[in-house]
Amino acid sequence: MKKPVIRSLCVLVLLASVAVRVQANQTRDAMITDFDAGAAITDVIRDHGYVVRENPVKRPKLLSSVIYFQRPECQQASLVLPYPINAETLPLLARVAKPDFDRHFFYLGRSWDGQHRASMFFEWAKYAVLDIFGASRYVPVRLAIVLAEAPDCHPVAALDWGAVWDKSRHRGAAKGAGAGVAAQAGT
Amino acid sequence: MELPASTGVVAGIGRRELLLWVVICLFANQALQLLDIGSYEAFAASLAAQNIIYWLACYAVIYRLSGSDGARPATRLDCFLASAICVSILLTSFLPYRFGIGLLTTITAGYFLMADRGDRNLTAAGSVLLAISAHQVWGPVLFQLLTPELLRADAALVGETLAWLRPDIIWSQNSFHAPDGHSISLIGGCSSFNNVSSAVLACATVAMLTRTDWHRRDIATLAVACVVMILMNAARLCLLAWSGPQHLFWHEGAGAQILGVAQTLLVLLIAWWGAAPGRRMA
Repeated sequence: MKKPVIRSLCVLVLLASVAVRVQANQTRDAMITDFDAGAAITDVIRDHGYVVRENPVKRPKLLSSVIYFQRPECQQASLVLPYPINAETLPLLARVAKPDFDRHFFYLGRSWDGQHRASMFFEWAKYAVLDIFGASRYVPVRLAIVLAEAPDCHPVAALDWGAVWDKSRHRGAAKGAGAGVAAQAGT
Repeated sequence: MELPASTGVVAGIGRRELLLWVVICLFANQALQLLDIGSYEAFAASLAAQNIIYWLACYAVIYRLSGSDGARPATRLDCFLASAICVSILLTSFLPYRFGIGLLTTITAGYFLMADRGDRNLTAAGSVLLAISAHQVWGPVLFQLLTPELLRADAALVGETLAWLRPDIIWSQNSFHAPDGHSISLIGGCSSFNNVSSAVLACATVAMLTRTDWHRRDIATLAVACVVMILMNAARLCLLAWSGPQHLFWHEGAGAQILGVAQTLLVLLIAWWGAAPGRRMA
């Protein structure tokens, strides 16, 4: 193969890969911007008929992203904290949840009793790859949630936390709220 | 380990030029993951936040590759590997994350190191490329797995220092509570691991910019750079825990930039000191 042909092929790969990556990055950024973790969690809680309580901590404090809600069968309020999957969330959680609270971690389609970052990373990788082919049920943002509940709280009905990342919910929310609604995906 | 010397020469292009094209494609795709080109403002902001050491490492790779044997033609194996990597770059560009391109950087670095055929410049370029991939991908993956342990180590260092300087600050696990109500909790971004990763990259880059071989002394330089980075980060965390105004200045204000510049300059100075020709002769 002649030198000009090889060079042309190299330039073609360079330009094509850059063009595709710019497009892919823009799509990802739009997905992250549109993803409003707080609103999605609030919706899931309200869909199950529970009352969301006001968080006394306000922005820009990190703990302002905590969402409190009351189950009628429990004496103390439960709380949900959204956090990036690679973050160490236990120190933050320790500041809002009592030490004896039960903790459950949720991310996309799975749940854990502890913060299993590696498992969450593989879960994210699975749905990120599926998303390229449009086959992911979930929005593959790297935000997980942790639910903390009082030890004497025995919920009658389990909440489907997977709905927080459900694509159909976010499509509906985006249509309902309009494209201008900014999200707090990076909390 | 060394691959067979030749599996057939392909007329047309030199080995150096072919490998330079591969590296340029890799770096261009990596740059897009580091820079925000959404708007001029976002681009300027992301440019200002760049890690200078990373870009110096990219320069070192290109510098060493440019200095490699230009007369040697590309073999069939070179062409096959370059084609495979270029096609993979194109495929991974659909995945807008660092992991795919980082994996390809590692593979390219491995090829440079194994198939250098006595070309020391190519080995040096491979070493820095490996350090880049470790900094960009493997370090963060390792950090993801070891975050609690590393944060506990950082918290212990800060806790012990504060117990000596400010005994009124209460240390509890990864949190620090000042008597005026100010409190901080260490999270992933606070860890000195990120600084250590930069220190490794800086030492590899500067060493391979000044020469093409490794010396035993480089290990000592690396250890000094890592220890200094850990201590600087501990000092930063002490300042953040000190009081609300200190936190505001060193975390949100001009202090953050001052610390960032100071850390970068210090680690580069240590790396230059370790790699300086005069010191090597001694």
